[in-house]
Amino acid sequence: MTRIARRPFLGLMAGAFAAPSQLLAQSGPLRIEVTEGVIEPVPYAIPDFLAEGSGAGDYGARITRVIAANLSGTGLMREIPASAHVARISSFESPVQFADWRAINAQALITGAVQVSGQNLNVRFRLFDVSSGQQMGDGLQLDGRTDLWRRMAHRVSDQVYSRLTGESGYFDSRVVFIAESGSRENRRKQVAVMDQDGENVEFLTDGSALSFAPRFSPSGERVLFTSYETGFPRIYLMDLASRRRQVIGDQPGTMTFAPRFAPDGNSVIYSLSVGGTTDLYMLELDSGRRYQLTQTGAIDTAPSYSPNGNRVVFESDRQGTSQLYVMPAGGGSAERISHGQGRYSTPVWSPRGDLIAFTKSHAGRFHIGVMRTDGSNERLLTASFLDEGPTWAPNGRVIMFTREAAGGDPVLMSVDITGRNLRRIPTPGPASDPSWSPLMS
Amino acid sequence: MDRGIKISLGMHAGLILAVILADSLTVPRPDRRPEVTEVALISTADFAALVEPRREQPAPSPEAPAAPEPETPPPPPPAAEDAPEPPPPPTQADEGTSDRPQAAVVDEAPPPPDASLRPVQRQAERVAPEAVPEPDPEVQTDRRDQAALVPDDAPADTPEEAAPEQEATAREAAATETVTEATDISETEAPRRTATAPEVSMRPVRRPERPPTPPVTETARAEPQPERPATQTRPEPEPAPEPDGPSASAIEDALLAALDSPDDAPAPSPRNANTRSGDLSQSDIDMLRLAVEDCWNVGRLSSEAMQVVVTIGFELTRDARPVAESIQLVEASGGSQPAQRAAFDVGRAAINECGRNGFGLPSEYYDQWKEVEITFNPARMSVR
Repeated sequence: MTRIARRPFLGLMAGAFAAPSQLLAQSGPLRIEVTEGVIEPVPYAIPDFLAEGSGAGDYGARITRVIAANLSGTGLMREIPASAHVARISSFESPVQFADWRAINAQALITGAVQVSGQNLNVRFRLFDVSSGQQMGDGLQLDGRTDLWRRMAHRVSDQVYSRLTGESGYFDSRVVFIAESGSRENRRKQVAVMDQDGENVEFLTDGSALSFAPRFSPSGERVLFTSYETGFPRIYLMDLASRRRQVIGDQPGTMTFAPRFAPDGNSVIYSLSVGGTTDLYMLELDSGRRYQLTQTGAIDTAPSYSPNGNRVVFESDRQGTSQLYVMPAGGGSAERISHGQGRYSTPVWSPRGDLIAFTKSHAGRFHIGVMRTDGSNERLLTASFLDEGPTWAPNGRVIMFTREAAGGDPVLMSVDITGRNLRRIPTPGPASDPSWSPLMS
Repeated sequence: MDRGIKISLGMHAGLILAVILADSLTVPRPDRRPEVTEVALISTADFAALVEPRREQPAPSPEAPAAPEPETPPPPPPAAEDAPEPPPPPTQADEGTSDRPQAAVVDEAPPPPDASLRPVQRQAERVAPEAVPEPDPEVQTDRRDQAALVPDDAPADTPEEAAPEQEATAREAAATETVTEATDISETEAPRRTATAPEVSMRPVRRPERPPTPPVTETARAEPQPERPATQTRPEPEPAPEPDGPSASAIEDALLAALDSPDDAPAPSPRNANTRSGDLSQSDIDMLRLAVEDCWNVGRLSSEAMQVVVTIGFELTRDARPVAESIQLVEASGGSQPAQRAAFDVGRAAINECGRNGFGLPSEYYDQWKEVEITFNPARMSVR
């Protein structure tokens, strides 16, 4: 417990000279405890960032719109439209007229300015607490290439988000997913990557073979995925910068799938199926050595490491139906953690380490849910015809997953871990199987 | 053939003959063709034109007794040339009811029960300690419910006395906890967790027995009350149903006290009547707490910040507004430094936001509330 400040001693000294009746009446400050509050989006204002100099063009307005979309998209904040603004920001350095922003009930104010010099873009911004009339944290400025203006907007969003919520942001991140096209009978599934807000989509495979289950490396520089190029599922490792790829963990006569990186990025855990059983294996990427982690004669799959790399959560039907189990990272005794009705699958450990997201099917409905790592406090966040494959945002606050309506195409959705703010992620077409990257460096 | 059979045959034959003769003698010889009425097809617009003038007819006066003599039937509505016979004029029993054709009855059928009134917790953007139903979309949302006030047409004596016009406001819809898509509303505890519907249907309550008028205590009325000319000249109002007995008289008393008090002497607050003389009442403290709760928005806080307990100290002016510069963190426990900072920001915003217009504390006890320390403990909110 941190004692930050205490009431000034001066008050006690002054009280000593007060009348006795006053001393009796006042015995220190009035103390109350508040335990109930409200949960609602914080209204904020973000006037267009000022374009300083002739070269800035409309970068200010474009960056502002991306920041506003990010912040409002969290469901935690609500933008006050510019048409309601009373005050105008004419200079980044001029003092803020807080009364004008209080008049429109803004609780936070973000101001900024951009400058362009050649191909370099400079962005400065400030965040204010309108109610107290104080700046929140220090102002920041970012420099980068003009073609990276969206990333700079995401980084400003992360700074603002972090200052307001007390946790890191997730806007400067990417998502790798399966982009689907074509008819159901002749489906084309390509590995693709995009910004977390659905922008800047790039295809990583040509779609000549079915691909699925892409997973980001902890550094965000590599991607694992499973492809049917040879007719059997095999695991590929791709370097995003060079687009070079290689098969890993292949063993003739077997099927390998469901790969996921260890937190250190040096090894991969995956499923290997042979002779009707599926077990978990770990492959060291540098040495190529492989270790079998489970051997139960059942189907063990969909492994996911805890953030510290000490434990693994996976799904198994070793007790009849698909349930979730946790075991040491090196293999050994597994403990069942799912005990509710229905089937549990595709568990993913939260980056914070406190929760496990999963898919649950029960009574003809699919759900995305979260539970503590010991299986307690299970909460279902969604319900639909088909929800599956959760992935965590880098800060562990948001979950993205695949949703498919009956007879419809799959889409990507996201939901806050409280179950609020369920929203669709824009993609160029049908999309499935998302995997969130870490924050970009 | 015996005699009995002969008699039976004879009587049956007679009966048959009688039936035949009776039918031919009693029934006139009408045209046996079914009655046919010519009809014409009219459009919806024509039909509306037919019925609209009747809708605009004034409703029959309730004082009108049953007419002993038949009234002149209203002129028939304009009809198309090829329209069939006009419908018969409404009978006395039909007076006051709609004379629209049967097809129009469909419009008057009672609407199906509004699904929004189902007594279940609803998804709402706002979570608050008290469930609030969806407000009228035409009413501005605010932190409190208030009725619209429109100044009287009569000019006020002085411009200062003119009451400012006030728009009606309603609180934003709120649920008492987060309702997710996966929440099975059939499993919710409907009555207790109602968010958009009343828990029970409203019934007129029996007026309680008026308690004997308590003697005026020194605490309640410290000064002898002067004459109340307004009371003497006020016409005796008609006995009206009182909603909740004592509250109405309490309001009246408070109004009278406020009206009778001189401007420079604040009226003693009735809320202190039940407390020790010289102490800030618990209701005042609760009012301060509730005001801060209403603005303590923890929605933006991270799960880590939701585990931080912060104590914030500040000073109040005499009109119970927080002194912004005095707001400071007294104590913080749990969470990282960024989480504590975010928790402090949220608490400070609650104090500033809801204290902007003053907390309404009694100024006579200023010494007791000029310094305040509020401990914000979000433990209960983290499960919402």
